[in-house]
Amino acid sequence: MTGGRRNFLKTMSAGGLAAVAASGKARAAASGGGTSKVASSVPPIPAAALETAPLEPSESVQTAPSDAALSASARAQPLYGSDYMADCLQHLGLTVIPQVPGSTFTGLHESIVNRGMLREKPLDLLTVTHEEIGVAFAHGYAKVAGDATATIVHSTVGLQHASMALYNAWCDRAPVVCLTGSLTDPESRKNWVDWMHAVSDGPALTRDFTKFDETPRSLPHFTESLVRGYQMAMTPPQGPVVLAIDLNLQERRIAKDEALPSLRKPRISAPQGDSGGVAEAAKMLAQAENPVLIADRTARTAEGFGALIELAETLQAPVIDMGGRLNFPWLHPLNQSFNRGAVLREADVILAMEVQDLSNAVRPAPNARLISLSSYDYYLKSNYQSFQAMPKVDLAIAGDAEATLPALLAALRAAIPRRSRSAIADRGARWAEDRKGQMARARREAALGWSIKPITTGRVWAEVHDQVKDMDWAIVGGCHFEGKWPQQLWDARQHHQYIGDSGGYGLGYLPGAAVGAAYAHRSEGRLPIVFGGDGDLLMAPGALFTAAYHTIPLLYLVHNNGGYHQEIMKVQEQANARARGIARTHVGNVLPGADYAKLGASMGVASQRVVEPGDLRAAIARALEVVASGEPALIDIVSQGR
Amino acid sequence: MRSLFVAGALLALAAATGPVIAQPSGEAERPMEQANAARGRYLYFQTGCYACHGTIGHGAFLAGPKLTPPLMAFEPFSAQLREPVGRMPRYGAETMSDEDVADIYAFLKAIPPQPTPDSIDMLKDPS
Ligand SMILES: Cc1ncc(C[n+]2csc(CCOP(=O)(O)OP(=O)(O)O)c2C)c(N)n1
Ligand SMILES: [Mg+2]
Repeated sequence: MTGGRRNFLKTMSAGGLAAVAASGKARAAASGGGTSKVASSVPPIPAAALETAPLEPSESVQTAPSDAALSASARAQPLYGSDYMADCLQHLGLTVIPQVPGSTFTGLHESIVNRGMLREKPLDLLTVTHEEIGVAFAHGYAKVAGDATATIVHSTVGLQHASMALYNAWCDRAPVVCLTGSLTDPESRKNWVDWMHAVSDGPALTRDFTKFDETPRSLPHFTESLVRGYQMAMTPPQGPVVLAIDLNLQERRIAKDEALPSLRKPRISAPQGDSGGVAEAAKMLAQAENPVLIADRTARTAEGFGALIELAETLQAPVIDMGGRLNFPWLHPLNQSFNRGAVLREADVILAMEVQDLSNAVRPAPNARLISLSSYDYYLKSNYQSFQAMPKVDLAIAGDAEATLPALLAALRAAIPRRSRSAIADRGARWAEDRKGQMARARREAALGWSIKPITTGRVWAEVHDQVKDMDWAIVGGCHFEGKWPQQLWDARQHHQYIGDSGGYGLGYLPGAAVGAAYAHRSEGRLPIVFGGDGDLLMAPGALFTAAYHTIPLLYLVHNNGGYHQEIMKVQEQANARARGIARTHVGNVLPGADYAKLGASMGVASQRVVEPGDLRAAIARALEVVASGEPALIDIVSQGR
Repeated sequence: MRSLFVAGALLALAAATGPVIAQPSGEAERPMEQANAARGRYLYFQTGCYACHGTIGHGAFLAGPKLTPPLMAFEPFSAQLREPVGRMPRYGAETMSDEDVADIYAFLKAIPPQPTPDSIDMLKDPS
């Protein structure tokens, strides 16, 4: 395969599409990779780092203790606090750990590579190039895996870098366990840099947008805090937590008779809305003439996804999916997400489930009675205004929508009178008919500008769809600036096929989150696809390095519109409002000349650039071949602004 | 508006959006029916219409609606520029002359018919 790939890559370069670096596998093979028997990714030491020829593995050289010697039961070796911490991470299943190294967690770093990564169900320590990428990776991973993982950041500067990504996870209600190093004891600060990076209360920085933080004082306290953190992160509304881990605690020798961690991973059962509220909501919906369902971060799992389908079909009510997650099949006849105004203007009762921007979502229906079913009511913080404008709600049920849906369904079935059945069926038939018209319109609009340059987003998605529609695809980015064509025309039937967006609209999310999500899809053998902004990519391009280095298959399509297009439009609006013309409004907003194929290639990702719409098909086919072989591929597509 | 134009700025903008739009000559005053589509194309880019409505007025999600096809009548088109309804920025006479409006309209009118989904295999109705 490697040889074949090299030829294929050469062909691409010869075709003038892009320079492409040797692929991860090719590099690994060239430098003696594949010799490790550890399941998690332990890439070989690159030859360049040793300033020597690639190392040949030698049977006779024993550089590390055997797995058996490192096992938990073998207490012959002295153990350290960070070994204990690594064991805790493993017991909780926080096994995929993206990190930028830092001297405040060298203890844990060493324990992970020399203990955690060598055990059964090993930890996997990944190299990332920015703490923001590490958090975004964990964020994207969690949304696909349905479980949290951990990321580790250096004290102070690492957490500062991580902070915006934590805010995204907070807004997106995604569980992330962020560990940050700490030098609590001044005696252990060896030089001025240690002092610079020391902080009395590190997690204070992110306390406004994390659900829990702690600076554990002992190893049992670490265990307790980690389990509490995990439980808080995973309980809806989910969110990020931060633990500051003191270096002295990491370095502390564990006495022979000291107990190793013993902890249980709790299964999280989400809070359900109160039965009185549920019964009332069921009654309101059953009696409504035109009930409407609005979902946003409603389905966390396949079960939630299925429950919403059942609810919609029972009521034959239109569903508006705001897209925080994949809540409802995109082509379902009751999916009226692209008909929001018309649907809501008729609505008399609306059930909104975990909807973030609710007052805006229901704007076309000021007179409808509004039921909100949301875990957001359980937990909010005051400073950052991510809770949005206060909607006018008639019945506010504090409860996790997914967990509440089965009870609501049962109550609803009992509440729907027999005589309403035919009216309910008619309602569904009407929306189904309307949906056909919407699809036809979407297809007509996707055809507009089919052959123009810059390439339309409609054409990009259609070309991709044509080649992947029969594959096990999953979209790992938001699509908002890329026309939302998949939501209109792709047949998404499974919850994992789309994971929404950043939550906080903090740029720099997408590359890391896409790679993290792709990591989670990798074990399922799925095809992760993202089509996202050039500006977003340039904020965190190092995520491509992680994808290549750790061999994470992902089709990364760059929406190269030459800049921060959103802001071009905004500054233009401003300039026009002031009647000053727009001739200068691109200043500070464009990113001309950047070549993302070269960028990808420089990080080891097989990359191409496409300018001509007619070249898309072949480029996608080549990229899919690379992804099918288990590696990332990038296509830099010179595209329309929107 | 023309006086604000900076050649370098257009070049940078063109790099961001694709093809360079050459500035056509012949800008003398003339009746509306002689509207100049080539000049309109230039203005369509230079005054930023493309940013929200796409380079051929095909429209875009979360940006600007489709302008064509079908193209609305000239009067409402002009009115929308002068006193816009919705989120569209206002294009007053200070930055866009009546002649400019007519030329942009002429450009949009001259856009060739676009393919229908039935003529594109991958967009055909699968049912
Ligand atoms: C960290 C951060 N900085 C600035 C912004 C403001 N912002 C919103 S959209 C945008 C442009 C994004 O560029 P790109 O990803 O290329 O998308 P485009 O609008 O060009 O499609 C910017 C700068 C932001 N959301 N986050
Ligand atoms: Mg952009």
